Amino acid sequence: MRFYLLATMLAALIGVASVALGEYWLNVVVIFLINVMMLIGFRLVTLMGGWSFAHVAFMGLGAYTTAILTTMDAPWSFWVTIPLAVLISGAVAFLVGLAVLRTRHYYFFLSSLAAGEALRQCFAQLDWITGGTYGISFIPRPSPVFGLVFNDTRNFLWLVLAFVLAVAFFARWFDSSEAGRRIRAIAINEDLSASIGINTWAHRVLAFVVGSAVAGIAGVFFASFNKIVNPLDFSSVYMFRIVAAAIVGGVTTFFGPLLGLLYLTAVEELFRGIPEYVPLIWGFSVIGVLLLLPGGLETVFTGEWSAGMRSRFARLFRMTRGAHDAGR
Amino acid sequence: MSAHRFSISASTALAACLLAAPAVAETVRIGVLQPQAGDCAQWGIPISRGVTMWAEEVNARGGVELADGTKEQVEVKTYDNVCYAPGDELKAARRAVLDDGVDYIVQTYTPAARQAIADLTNEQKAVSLSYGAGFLSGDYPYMFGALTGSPTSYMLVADRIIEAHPEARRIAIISADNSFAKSSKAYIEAGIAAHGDAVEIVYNESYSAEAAGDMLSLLSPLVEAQPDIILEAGFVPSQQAQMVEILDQLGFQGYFGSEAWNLNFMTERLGAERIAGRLYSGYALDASEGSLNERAAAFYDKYVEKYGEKEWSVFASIGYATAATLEAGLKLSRSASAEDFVAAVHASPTLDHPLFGKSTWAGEDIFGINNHLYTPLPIYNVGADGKISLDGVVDVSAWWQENKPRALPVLEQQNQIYK
Repeated sequence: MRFYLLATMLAALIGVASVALGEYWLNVVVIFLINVMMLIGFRLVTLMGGWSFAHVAFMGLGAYTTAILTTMDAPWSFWVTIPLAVLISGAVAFLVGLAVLRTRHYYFFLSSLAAGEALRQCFAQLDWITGGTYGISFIPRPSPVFGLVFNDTRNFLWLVLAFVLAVAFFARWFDSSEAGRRIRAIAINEDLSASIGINTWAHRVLAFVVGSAVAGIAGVFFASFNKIVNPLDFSSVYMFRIVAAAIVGGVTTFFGPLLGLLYLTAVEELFRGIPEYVPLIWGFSVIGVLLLLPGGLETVFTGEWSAGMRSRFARLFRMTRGAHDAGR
Repeated sequence: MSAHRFSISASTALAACLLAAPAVAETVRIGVLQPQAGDCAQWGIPISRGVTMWAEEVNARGGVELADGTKEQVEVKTYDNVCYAPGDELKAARRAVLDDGVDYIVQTYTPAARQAIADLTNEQKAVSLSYGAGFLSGDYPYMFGALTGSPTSYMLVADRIIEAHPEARRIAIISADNSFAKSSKAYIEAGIAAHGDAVEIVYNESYSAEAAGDMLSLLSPLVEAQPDIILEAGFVPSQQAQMVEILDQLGFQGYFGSEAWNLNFMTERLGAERIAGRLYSGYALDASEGSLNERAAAFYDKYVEKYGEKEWSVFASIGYATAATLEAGLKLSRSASAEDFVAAVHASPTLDHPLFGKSTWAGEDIFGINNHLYTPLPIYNVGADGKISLDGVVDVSAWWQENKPRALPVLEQQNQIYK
């Protein structure tokens, strides 16, 4: 119920925003929504208990799929590139997953980081198809649908919103499906899950592939909206933003990553006059959340934060009293 | 109810966005898109300072002058583009043009970054001025190359070194693996091509940003190729100093060429005697060498007074000179609007530049539009005292006419033709 309320609210807010906001803020909202899609995919990956640092590279795969196909001499339709981006991102994620999903914990983080960097190097080095470090420019916006022209930022915003909602509903369904429940069980205790007959590796691959395919869709919209793709767009700095949003917001609920992203976007916009301090603020935010709100901002809304704080204070009180008693 | 509390937070955030309406002012607004932090700020901060100091100087005179003699105040804001990444360039340009109502952008010559904002300049009728060309096109009349800066200057520096040292025949090119260095490399090769078979490229490799951290490994194969001249594109000033120092230690005694050198770094690390006569550069103008133009020399003095000599960078001159092109263009324009500016500069084949004098609008051969101002290019070297010294001034239009048959095919082969 809460999920549907959230989805309706998001749609309503964007609806108001699309009428009330000026061109610049419409641009900000579009990028925000593309990042929301990225985070939905990232959250799906985190379901299996690992935080993939290759996620942004799969977004790049989706972006390059659209960029290459829509700028060819005989250009493909934007709409055809969406399923293709899903297939390509998913297929490459499967191949990458064959290797990196055999690792756990720090090793998974490092191997996914290396895989992401390898993919980004492909974008830079395969210049005969990707344009190399020049990237690909002048990517067209989607062709009109029912008279809606997507060169208009307002219309593009509605299009992205529709896909964000579709992806969110799919993620919600996946989350509550049997496969989703098994994946969460694997994240909690992989050995126990395996002992009751769950194919843990296959389920981990499934989460990785599905989440990465969603990142591919985000890439499609990213390429079409910015009209340019470049290897630098999919750097580890961008990946850090996504991870930071997930840490700051939390990943157990759907609105957690959204909160984190909202916070980081607000920081970026509020402090844009002093951009050199923005990474510092992000860094402090991440550390602050890890220390004070270990589950992210979402715990403030779910009530876990106050319960956690109470227990922390109680522990502190007991320790203080213990020390005091020992002193006597 | 958590969703309810979330809705209140989200509504508050939306209200904050709604209240942040763009401000309206009556001044000529200039947005400088440059790196403001990190390694690339070694370029970005001095360029931003150059434009800002130009605005302060113009405002002190009552404002920038239009064709009818009226003056308008100038406001400069800087926007971080991280390190010329196209996505960040676009983000910075959107902030400048869409939110702050900037009419004139000063940006890099990096082709990918210029292409990233090309559509925005057309849609919003905002002029983009670069301290070089990189990318221009007949489809984007609001985009200009305001000076003979990079990458064109690389071609002329390469040509000058070869011409000045007939005994040096073996050339090495080392360039970063990014859009602006690749473009610069293409122009270096075009400059070398002007000498036909008289010279030989013995090393021509690109490196990734990460590889620059291990300079010794990066440079060892270059030295093994035994070049007489090394032309580089893409190192930040501190890396350039490191490169020269390591090559010196490895026994390289030849000549270096680049768009610019930070001589403060060089003299600190190597001493004046090791670099005198060996470091060639040419990037529009270096105001610290005051013999070319009094106004530029006065700008240098003011800069040093404001920030100190240690903070001087040739890139400050580049920012100042680019803004001076805007000044010259507005002087022909009936209003400060971008449309009138474009119409005014397109109406004349030349521009009377405050620092360079009469300069020609060119670029048709490469870009299909004469939106690149060919200002005369001073080539610099290093004097015995470790200070910058003027080696000569290239008449760029004449050079291009003479060498076009050899240089143009190289640029075409390297995908630098945007007609």
